[in-house]
Amino acid sequence: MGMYEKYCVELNIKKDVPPIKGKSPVYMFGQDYFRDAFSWTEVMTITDEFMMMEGTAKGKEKIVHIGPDGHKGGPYPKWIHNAEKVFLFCGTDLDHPEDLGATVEFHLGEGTQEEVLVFDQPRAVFVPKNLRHGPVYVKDFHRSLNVVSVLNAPNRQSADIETDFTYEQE
Amino acid sequence: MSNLKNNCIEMYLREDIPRRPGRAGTWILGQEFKEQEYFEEAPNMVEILMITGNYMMMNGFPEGFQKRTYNMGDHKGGPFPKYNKGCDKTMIFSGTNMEDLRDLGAHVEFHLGEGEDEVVFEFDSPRAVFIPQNVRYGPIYITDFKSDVMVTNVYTVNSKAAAQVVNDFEFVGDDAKIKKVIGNDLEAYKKFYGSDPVVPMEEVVKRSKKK
Repeated sequence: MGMYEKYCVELNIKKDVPPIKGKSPVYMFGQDYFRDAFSWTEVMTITDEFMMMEGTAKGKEKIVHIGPDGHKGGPYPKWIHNAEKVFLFCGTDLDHPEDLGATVEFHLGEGTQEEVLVFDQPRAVFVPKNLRHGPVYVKDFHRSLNVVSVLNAPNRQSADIETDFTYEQE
Repeated sequence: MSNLKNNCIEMYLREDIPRRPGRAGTWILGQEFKEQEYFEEAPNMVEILMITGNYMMMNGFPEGFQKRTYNMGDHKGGPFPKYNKGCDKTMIFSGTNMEDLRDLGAHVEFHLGEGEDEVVFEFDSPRAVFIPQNVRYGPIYITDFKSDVMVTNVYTVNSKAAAQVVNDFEFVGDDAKIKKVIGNDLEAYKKFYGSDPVVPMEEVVKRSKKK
């Protein structure tokens, strides 16, 4: 086996069971699959109106996902304590690349510092360490869009992601 | 006003004019050329492009063809294999067939390394290819196209200057492989590279400053 043979790696596909309306399965690449990976990258397609990290309504039972390593997550805003992350939103109308295909409302920060970023053209959103991010709402959908996220850490464990389970939908 | 508004970043769209057969424009986060403003805090350069037909990258020119190089403003570029002297890079090939995401939508032949160390990866399902610093990569031939293929490039640095991209201008293209991509019509091949496919850098800088 040549010295570079191991550098071509099959992409993992994470499927939601049952499927979540408006979202494709997610391609994932990082150190869980390849030892020398320097970042954790996810690629997915939004296929309808959709929301991420939207929280649960007041009084409703919290949704908690427990990962294979025991880490607790769920559909709530998050902080990343040990890595920066960038989300890239691109459209799929290749003849009109400035058309994102939907309007995205991305909440960045919290309290009086919270900024709501609204855009309907391709954009990247940079999330610094220790800054809460989410929810993200995709609305006015008229065409599929691709979302790529790049976490500047080889895996999610080392990024130290904390979920804000206290967040409640407005 | 919170300065977090600045964290919503307009990316640079690099388009070939005229558009090359088989490829749409590339969205770029990071600094593509020196005069371009970019968001310095974001640590990784990321490029997203869609392959829309049979296509080839870094394929060189066959014997007898006049080699072309392109003026990229602060450096010369061209369709030749490359080294990244200043960073590692990952190229992620993903499919767009929502009914079957294991179907890449085309066949990819990816050359990594050179001489005795060269390996040729062939795949038609989604893959990531890791390119270590200083290792030559390319050509890439995309054939048997069925549906759009998305390519996402992630670098360990956030500018092309820091990536220190070096072209192997001496590489001689493989005529048979090139014909497998574009067919036997060499006029089509001349057209493929018939005019400078990149928006002149002065125009790009002008647009960037206007924004």
